[in-house]
Amino acid sequence: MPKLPRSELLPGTLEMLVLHTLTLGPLHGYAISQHIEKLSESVLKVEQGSLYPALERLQNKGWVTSKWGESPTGRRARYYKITASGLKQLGEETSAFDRVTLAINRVLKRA
Amino acid sequence: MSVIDGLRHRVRVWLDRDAYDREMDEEVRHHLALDAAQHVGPDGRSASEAELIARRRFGNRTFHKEERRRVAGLAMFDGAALDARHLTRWLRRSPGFAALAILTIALGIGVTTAVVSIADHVLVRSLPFGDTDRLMMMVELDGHGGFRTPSAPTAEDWRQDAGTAQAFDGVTYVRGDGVTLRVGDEAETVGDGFVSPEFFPLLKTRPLLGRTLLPDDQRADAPLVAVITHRLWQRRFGGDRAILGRSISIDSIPTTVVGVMPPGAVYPPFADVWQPITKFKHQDILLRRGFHADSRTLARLRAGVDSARAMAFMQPVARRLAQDYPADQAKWMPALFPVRNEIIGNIRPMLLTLAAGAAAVLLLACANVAGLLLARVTARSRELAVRGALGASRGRVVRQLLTESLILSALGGVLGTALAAFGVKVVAKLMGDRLPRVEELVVDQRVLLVAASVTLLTALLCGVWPALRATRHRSSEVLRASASGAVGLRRDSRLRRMLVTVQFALALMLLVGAGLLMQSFRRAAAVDVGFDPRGVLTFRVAPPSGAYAQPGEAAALYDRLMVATRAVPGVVDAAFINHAPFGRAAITTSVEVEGRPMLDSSNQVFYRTVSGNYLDTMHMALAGGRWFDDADLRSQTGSFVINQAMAKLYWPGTNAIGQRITVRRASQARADFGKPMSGTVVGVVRDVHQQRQDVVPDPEVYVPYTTETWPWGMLVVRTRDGVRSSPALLRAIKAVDPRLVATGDPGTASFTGIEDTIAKSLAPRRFSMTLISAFAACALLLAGIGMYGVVAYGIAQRTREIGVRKALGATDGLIVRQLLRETAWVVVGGVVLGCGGAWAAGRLIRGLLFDTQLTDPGTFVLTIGLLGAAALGATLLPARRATRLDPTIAMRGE
Repeated sequence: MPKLPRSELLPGTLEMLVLHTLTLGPLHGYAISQHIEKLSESVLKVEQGSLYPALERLQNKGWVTSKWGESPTGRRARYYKITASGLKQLGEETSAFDRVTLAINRVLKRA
Repeated sequence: MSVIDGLRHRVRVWLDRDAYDREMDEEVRHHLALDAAQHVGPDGRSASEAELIARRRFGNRTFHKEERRRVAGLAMFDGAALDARHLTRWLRRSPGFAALAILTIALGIGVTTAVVSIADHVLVRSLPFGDTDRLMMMVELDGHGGFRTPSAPTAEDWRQDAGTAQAFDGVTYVRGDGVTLRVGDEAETVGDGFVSPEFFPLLKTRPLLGRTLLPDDQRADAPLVAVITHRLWQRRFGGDRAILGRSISIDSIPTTVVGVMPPGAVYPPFADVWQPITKFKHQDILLRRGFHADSRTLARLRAGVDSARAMAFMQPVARRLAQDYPADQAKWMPALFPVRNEIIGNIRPMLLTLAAGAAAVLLLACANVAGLLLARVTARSRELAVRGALGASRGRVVRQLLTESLILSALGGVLGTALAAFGVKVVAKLMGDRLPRVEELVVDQRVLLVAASVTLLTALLCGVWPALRATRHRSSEVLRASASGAVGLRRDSRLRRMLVTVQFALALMLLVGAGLLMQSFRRAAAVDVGFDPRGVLTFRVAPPSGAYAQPGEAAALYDRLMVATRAVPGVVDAAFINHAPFGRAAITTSVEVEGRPMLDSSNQVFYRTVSGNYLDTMHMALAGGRWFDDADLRSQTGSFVINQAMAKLYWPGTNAIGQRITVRRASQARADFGKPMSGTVVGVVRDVHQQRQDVVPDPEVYVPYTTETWPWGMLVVRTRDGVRSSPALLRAIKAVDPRLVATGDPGTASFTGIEDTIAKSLAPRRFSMTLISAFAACALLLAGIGMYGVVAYGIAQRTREIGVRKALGATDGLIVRQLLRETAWVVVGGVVLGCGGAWAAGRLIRGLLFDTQLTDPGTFVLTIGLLGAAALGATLLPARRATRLDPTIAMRGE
């Protein structure tokens, strides 16, 4: 499994991925990390631990809220939920990201 | 609303930090457990192997947790706890430094606060009237130094003038008189202010008890009422609240007390009782245009009008009066004097000087703390560099240093405030009898607030700057530098030296100021008052009203009093005068010199009627001619004696003796008031200081008491035993006539003797001298501490160097000499800078000096000597450590 250094993830990408994941519904931290892993298998690799500071940042911005609940296995877990402003932010960031990737693709194809 | 959601999250986290910490751990444990469960089993991995994989996938737990806490804003709190830990460790390691820093701040804040509190109390807060700054005493000036109070008719013309009304909220005339107050068997003479209905509203002061005088009290058929001062209430009635409605005897007339004014509310300064002006005995005086004595005219400036504008408003009425009454008013223009200045003197120079002193002391303290912290930072540059290299951010290091200085300032501030409170208490105890309303003297809220801001400012000044400096150096440089043993960054040590130089300069300025004030005080106290005050007691003696009304009767009474008191054991001599020196009362008369055109009524000289042996009793000296002889006293030969000031004013360069002059009778209570008396100057006496030692004596004329006999007066008794003779003397006075009222010193009515009164007359001078001296002593101590700090740290920094030099054969003497040389340069710099500063600041203090030049060499020599001694001590103390250094240990270094 090729291990990419954290720095190779574009800044803000992890947050965007988390927001995207949370559109599925309220999830606890491990479920989020699993989902991101599945989505980006072998391309975007981050230490799972860095998910939590990212969640903290998202909560500071008010895009995500959290509360404790019970997991299907009966354990206590903190569930994260995307807020309305989080959804709006995701929309904006996705389109911005799309524009950038589009631009990069064009440059790369021309080269 | 995302911002609010985010904030809510942060606040929730902050409010329950410990719980959030635990929850974070729980979340991570949950995560790891779930992940480990994914990896266990299928490939035959054991639970522990699976756990290892989960941990690896998770990454550095500590790192991620720290990052998360940082994002959540929790790291801040760790930092504070860490800072506190660092701080306590650091304080424990160098208690001497902490003590010096805290002491410095405490001194700076404590002394400044105490002095400002006291000055504020004495100079501002003890003013009893509302908005005192707008209260003005109205006087008349002739433009040639002549000064008089307006007569009652003039004051009334002003009051009714439309122009004047635009300048003032009100104008009121107060007539003063001495009245006999009898309570039970005891009688005394007190000052009585006869006032109009506008008087009390103009003062803007509410009575402490009862009421002030009302317009109805002025009616002819109104019952006799009086308002009394707080001091009279305390002294005569023991502060009894049942005083209201009580009947007292004023000039043998039953009068009801209707009010007591609050402490300090005394105006005019001579008044102890106020009565309606319609009840004044000599109503005819109120109609005389030319009568200017014993009164005050008070006015309150309208808001937004200053003295100059008020004077402009008064020009028309002044011109009109000059035309209508040329003899009395032609040369005189109205002028205003702040009542504040009359109560406590002109305090502006003193306030400015004190403010400058306070600022200087505070600056000194700050420089000291900055120097100490800077030295400390330099000494710790290695530690800070190591911490920087280990990952502490610049902000983190700056914050630690800031925390240190803030905590030092807080401790210093608390100690300083305590010091201020203690200082104020001590001053109140020591100077209790010399300060007004001392029972109200406390460190008040406002001053505390000032102290608090000063503390904070000190922290910022002393903390930020060294902290910023400390973090400017790159860690690697410092680490390399310290490896070679040359940590003492040159620039820093030069900077510290500069700081101490400035401190010495400030200390020099304050010491010079204190020295000049002390010199002035010494010179003022040493001024020859023109007579020998030792053992002289004065008694104000007033016959009961109605008795001894004829001048001849009164003169005979005074003769009997002098004979009776001379017979008392321990009495050397006794004499009589209308107003004795250093009493508060005096009166002037106009003078005409024969053969010269009468100038105008500005030719005023002080007027004394005296008994024949007054000169001998007082041990005064003749400057020329002779004193009154028996013939002068017996047959009214028309002889006058004048003082040197008068001789110099009227006959400069020529002999005054034999000149003919005309003066006017000045006793208001006599029918012949104002009647001219012509005669010859037969003698000139040396000047006698009548009010204060530091004020040049005014021109005076002496008249035999048989020529004009005052209706009451001062019995002046020279004794061998001083105050102890006063009971026997009082008995002797009563033995002459039991109805006589004899009182002691003006104002206090105690018998302390004229010598004590003279000493008290210098109280304002003593006050400013004492406060500035407190500043100066504090400054000297602070500068010494600063020097000590610099030298001690210099030695600590150069331990290796000194060790090497000692190993190479340098003697202790040589090393100490080098340290002293460095100190000497700082002192020289400070002296040069300080002399320049003292010269520049001289303007401030000039008004407070007496017979002392700003460049008084003695003061400068003494000051520089003191500073030199302080610097020497501050160098030699730590220098001993350098000489005790063992070279082998020193060279082994850190």
